[in-house]
Amino acid sequence: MSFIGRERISSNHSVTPQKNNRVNNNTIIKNELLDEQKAEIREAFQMFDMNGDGCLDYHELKVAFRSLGFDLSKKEVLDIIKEYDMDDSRLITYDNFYKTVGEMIIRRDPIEEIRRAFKLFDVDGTGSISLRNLRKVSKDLGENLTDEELQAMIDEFDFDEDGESTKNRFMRDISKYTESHKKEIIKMKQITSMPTFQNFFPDKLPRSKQKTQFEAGIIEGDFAYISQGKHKGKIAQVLNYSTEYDTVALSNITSQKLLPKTFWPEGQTSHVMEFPDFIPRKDIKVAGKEKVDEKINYIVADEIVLKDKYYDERYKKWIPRRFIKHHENIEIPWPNPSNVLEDNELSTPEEIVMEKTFEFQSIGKSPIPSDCLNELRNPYSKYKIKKLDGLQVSKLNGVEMPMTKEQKIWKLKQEEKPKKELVPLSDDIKEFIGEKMANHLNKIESPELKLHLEHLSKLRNRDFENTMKKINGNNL
Amino acid sequence: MFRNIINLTHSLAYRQPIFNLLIRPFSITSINFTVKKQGGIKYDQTYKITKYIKKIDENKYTIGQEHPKGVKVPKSIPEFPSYKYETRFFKRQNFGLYGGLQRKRSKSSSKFLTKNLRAHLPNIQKASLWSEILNKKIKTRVSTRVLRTLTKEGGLDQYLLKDKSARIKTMGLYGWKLRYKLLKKLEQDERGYFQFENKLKPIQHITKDGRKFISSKEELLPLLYNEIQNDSYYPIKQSQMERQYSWLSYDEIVNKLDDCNVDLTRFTV
Repeated sequence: MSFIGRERISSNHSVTPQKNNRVNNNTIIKNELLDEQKAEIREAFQMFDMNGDGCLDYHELKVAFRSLGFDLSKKEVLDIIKEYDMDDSRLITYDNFYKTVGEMIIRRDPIEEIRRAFKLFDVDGTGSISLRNLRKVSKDLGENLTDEELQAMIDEFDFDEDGESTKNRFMRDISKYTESHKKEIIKMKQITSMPTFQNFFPDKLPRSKQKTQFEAGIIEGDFAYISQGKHKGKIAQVLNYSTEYDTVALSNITSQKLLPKTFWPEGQTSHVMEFPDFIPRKDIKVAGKEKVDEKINYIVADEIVLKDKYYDERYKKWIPRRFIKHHENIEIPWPNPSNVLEDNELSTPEEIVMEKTFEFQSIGKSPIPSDCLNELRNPYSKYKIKKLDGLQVSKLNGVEMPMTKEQKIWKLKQEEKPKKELVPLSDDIKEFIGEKMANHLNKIESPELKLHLEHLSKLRNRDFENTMKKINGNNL
Repeated sequence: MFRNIINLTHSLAYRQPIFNLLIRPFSITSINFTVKKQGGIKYDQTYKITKYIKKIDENKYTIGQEHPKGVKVPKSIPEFPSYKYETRFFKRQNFGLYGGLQRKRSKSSSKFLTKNLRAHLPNIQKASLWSEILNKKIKTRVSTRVLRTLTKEGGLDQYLLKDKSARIKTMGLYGWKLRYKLLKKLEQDERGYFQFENKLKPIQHITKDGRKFISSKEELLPLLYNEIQNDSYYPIKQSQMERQYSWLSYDEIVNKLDDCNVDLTRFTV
């Protein structure tokens, strides 16, 4: 993020009051200073005059100088005090303060001024202003703003959205504390925060409860009807929906806040700033605008429902449709997006951006080349099927004992022997065996033996079955 | 009656074949196992069932098979074939020709019948035995029983090269290794030798087409590696080469080299 510029600033100018010039310039000051600048000096003095006695002490003076953009050393500040210090009170009055500052403002260079303002915040010299820098400055100023507030400040001006080290693991993360502890810390911080910002920021929602603007049903550019609170009955345009706080910022509901000049956004001219209030989402109702015969009607939805999704060309997104609850024939369309970037000569055409340059992984075709797979896989995975290679097999099987002469001869003889073949019985043999069996069975007279034999014939003979299988197998 | 009991015990013994029972709590030495055959009882030859036999993996593995669980692949190809009857008791019998003789135990009894455990060790002598095939003497520890058998068989070679299962069981691990050496030497003798500068050099391999190779497999492998390296688009590591080709048989290596048209005449006689 950047306030003014990103280039690193190396020049180290500090404007010191020069005694000789001061007296002569007294009259010039009144003429040359703009009304704005005069108001500025006055505001700065009033702001840092904490006890309200019309004088600044050393510490107050130093911070006041700083807020006006002059980084003076301790010695320089003490010198200024000493010069106007008549009664050894070590204080400086408004008149004297006005004189010194006025002189310095006249003498300073506008570009140099911008540089100095930037440098004031960029304490670590990184060329950009981070939350850490801002925190240090706010601490110097004696305004112990919470990190959230500071982050909100940065986000306000963070146009390039690089977020500048918003999260640091060494940073105190309040969201991790217990509820009671958190409250205590916030309370302690608010004691020292700027009075106008006290109790200004609502509680942050946890990440799990945060909703996007489409989920919440309210978006930038919508009309909202305020149903509760001080501004009840007003209808205003939504400037912003904050997901963190679940609040909206409305166009005409603002409050005046005092801001040190260092925190001013671009175009700001005074210390008083119109700051949009945080209005909780439950206090507002979405309103639809309707034009009938050049008369504007607003339809306020008590509740809204989100139904079926569609692709919105304006947002380039799949978003749900928004209806009024119990009157679901009435749709409240989403407003046109506010900050649409227009194409110029340098922008890439849409069809090139949307062109599909990769293939999705599918069961049929993997996006990874098959040769590359082995490198990507875990070689020691327990699910990997290991297979034996030739060397491993030869190691496992080992060497074989050679055969002796006798063994070789025996083996040759075995090979010479005709192989036993199972052949189905011929019909003649079957008949012959059947005849013999029948003769034998007819001779048997004992009914017990007959019964026994019958039982035996029914028994299952595995060997017989296996042989028959082999014979049939051979035939087939 | 008595006969029946014997038959019963015998049949029980056969229910659990002794060969399959590799780990046995006690050795059985003096029981004669009877085998009932036609025409009476024939006594099987007496042999030693050694105690606590080291179990060996007799599985035959094939290339591309899934890696068996719990099987450790040895670091190198074993030098000798695995021996089925290597004992894990009285281990000195694995380092000499003991003929299956093992330490026995008995109780010595004094005059007053006090009993003490004592051991009977086999009678072991150091001897150098002449091997006709290896043409050198082999210095080992031999039991006197084996010395007697040696004289009966007619020499160490005859003792070791006998095919009977009892001999293989009793010869021990040392004998088994000697037997492998003898058989390898016999194979070498069959292949023959050639004269090289007043020295006889062995012919390493004879291919089917009759070429006689004088160099070992290890000398041919670098040639093959070179050919494969030249043929490949990518460099192949030495270890990868060895994993793929070092275990191939002599014939397979020669065939591969022939396919690459490598001149092998300088390796042949």
